[in-house]
Amino acid sequence: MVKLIIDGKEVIAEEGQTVLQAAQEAGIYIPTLCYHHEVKPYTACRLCMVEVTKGKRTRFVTACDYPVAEGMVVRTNTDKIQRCRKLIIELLLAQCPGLPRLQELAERFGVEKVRFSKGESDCILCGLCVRTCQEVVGLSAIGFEGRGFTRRVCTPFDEASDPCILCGACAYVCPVDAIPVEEVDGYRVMERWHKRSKLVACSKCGRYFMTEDELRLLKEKTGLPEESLRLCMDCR
Amino acid sequence: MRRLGSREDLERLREEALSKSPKRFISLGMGTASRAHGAEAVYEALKEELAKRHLGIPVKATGDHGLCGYAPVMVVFPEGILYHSVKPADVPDVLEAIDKGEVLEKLLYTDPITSETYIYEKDIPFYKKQMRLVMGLMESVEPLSIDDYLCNGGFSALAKAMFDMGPQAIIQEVITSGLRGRGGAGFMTGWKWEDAASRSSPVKYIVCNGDEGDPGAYMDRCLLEGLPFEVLEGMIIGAFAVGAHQGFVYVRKEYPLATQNVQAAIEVLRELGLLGEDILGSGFDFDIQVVRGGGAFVCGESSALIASIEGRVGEPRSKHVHATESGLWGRPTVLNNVETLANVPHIVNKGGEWFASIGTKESKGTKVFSLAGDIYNTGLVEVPMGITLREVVYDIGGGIQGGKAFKAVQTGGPSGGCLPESQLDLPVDFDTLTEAGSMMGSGGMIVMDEHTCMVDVARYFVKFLTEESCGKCVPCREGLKHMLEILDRITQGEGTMEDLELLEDLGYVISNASLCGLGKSAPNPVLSTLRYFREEYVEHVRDKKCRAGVCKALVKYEIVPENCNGCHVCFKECPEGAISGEPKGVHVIDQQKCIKCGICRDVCKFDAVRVV
Repeated sequence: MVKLIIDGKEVIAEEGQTVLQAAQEAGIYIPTLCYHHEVKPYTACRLCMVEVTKGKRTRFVTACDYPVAEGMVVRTNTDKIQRCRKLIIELLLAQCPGLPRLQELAERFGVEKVRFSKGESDCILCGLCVRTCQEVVGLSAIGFEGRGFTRRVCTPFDEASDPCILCGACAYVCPVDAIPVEEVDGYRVMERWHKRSKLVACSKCGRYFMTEDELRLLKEKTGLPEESLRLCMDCR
Repeated sequence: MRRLGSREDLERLREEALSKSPKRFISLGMGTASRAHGAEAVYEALKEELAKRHLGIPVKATGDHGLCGYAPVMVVFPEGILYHSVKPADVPDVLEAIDKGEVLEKLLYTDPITSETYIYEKDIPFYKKQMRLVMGLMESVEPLSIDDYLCNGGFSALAKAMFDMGPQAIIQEVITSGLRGRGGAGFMTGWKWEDAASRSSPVKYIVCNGDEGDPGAYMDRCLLEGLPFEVLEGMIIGAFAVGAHQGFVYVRKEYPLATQNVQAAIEVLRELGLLGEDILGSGFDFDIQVVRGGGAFVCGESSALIASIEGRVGEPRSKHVHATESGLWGRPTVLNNVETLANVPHIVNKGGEWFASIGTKESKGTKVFSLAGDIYNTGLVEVPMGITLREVVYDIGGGIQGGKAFKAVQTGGPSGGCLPESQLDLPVDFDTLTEAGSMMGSGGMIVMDEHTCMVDVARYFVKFLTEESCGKCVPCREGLKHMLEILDRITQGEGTMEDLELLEDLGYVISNASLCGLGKSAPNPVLSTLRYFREEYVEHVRDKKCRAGVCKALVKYEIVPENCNGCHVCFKECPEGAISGEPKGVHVIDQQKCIKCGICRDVCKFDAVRVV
């Protein structure tokens, strides 16, 4: 166990935990957009930046991947942090003006107006969808394309991605709800990935509960007989 | 080639090479810069003419000598007579002069300001204030001639390191030397090595970073092209010191000759047993692989470079954990710049204290700069740390071309800063340049005269960095995009005074909150020009004026009737036919047709075209 101080409060954390985890457990709020506990820290949104003092040295670091250490002093709300946070939110709002989640953040942190030219995107490029697909689902059906401000998330060559099983994990994890999933006429459709897959009904209760692509992958991975996989979680 | 099984074998090979080594030879710079100036044709002409005249003078096709603005440059040894801008047609005269023991006046270097002519290379002001340590062998060693390299002490440092010193003593010597990384960050090389050496992992790596991407900078290219053995020797010593058995040289895609020469040099060393198993019978195994970059500037950043070697997209990651702890494939990895490694054999040979005696308190040794811009002598220069910017610009660079006034010097590549006249007496070292709002960077140095618009310069570099930002983190990706938009606006005369504040706000956040060094240093060109040349920004915004006459939306070209003598040159040169006037009469520019290209002003010898 390590003892550290976050915003003047003594916090006990486990060795190997990050500053963000320690703060969250202690009920101290640090904003994040690109962080999710199920995937590795990515340090791209820069909203979780905190000032960390170890010995004589103070550093400006991302809380989501910075490991706790004994005697460390963390400050999560200095003038410098506020200045950076506000401008980052302003930049994101300029990039994606229509996102409610960003407007909430702007309100919370006192970003009153956007002084920059506005774009039309709905994706903040946090990469959670890409990383979840790769690290959790294990498929890498989507990825980043381009660099700098032309960067975007897409399927390879912008075509229907073969490995995608329409599991919807990307949509679930998206912090700004930018990946719509629709179920129409017995199909699950994800326009963003140019993909549709027929839905499978539970052989017992008849409810649609997965896609044919998911069923195929599950069969491959588990080796279980198809009959047992065709039962939904409730009927299994 | 025989395999060297011991230190004695190496020394025997050296003696053999020395006994064959010619005193008289012609050294012709043949690096990329020289080739661009036609050095290959000169080389062919030399070979042909030497055969015709039955003159047994060897020609060494070496790396670029440094005086690249005057390439092709050749030096006749042993006297050290320098001829520049040599054309194939000059070759018979050169050889005639050498044969007769004379000097060919027409190809000698003449100082553009004092008009003094110099025979010997060592006397030319460009070279006089330099201290050529890592570049020292450039003229006497053919890139792939192991004999040349051995004759000049090559691999004596490796033998000393392996047989007389051992890993700990090498690291101690490098720490004593105070050598700091030449790629830009300026981290202590010895500390890096010490940390990697202390790791118990059975697998460690050493990586040579040759992904030099700063526009106009080519120090590393020149070293890799001209002295690959020196870089590789430094790398083998480093590997031995930290216990790495595999090395990688990462060369940027745009450097075909450097890639080719390093690859060929590695093969020579493998054949000799200076790479591979049991090097010189020491029991130490080490091999090197060349990796070509894919053309992304950000891959010069260490964590992006590591990702690129691993076959992943070249994007940086957080560096709380140093590469020396967990780098390539999670193994302890030492990552050094080309020039850093080229310093190592010299430190091992002459000692850390000797090295530390050169330079300033916190910056030791020499630094190679790629000197470019509006000066007379452009090229590669190697100077002791602590030399002033003024000495580099005026004594070595020869001062500003065409009698114009100095305006700024930009150091540190695209993310460096622009320093004004008042900062010219600053000593060149890591910390002083950083304090002044610029940086050492990898060694780009661009001198700008009064016809340079500082807002436009900032815009140019921000544009470069916006295009090269990987886009992973928000401040760099989105912040630079808006910085560029604002700068575009200002140069088009549509900026507001609030824009200047916005630039400062963006600069603060991008430099503090970005993920990697590219973002952290990207606002430098804007912040430094706002600091030293704020009045130019204000003029663009408030007065809608560009004093340098660069920002087209804000200027117009006019002919000053009193100065125009009707020489008619501008009339002929104007690509748009926008100038009217009879010979010997006063000319006039039609503002409707004028595209503000500036050609009329450049060609006017009577100062009759002005920008208002």
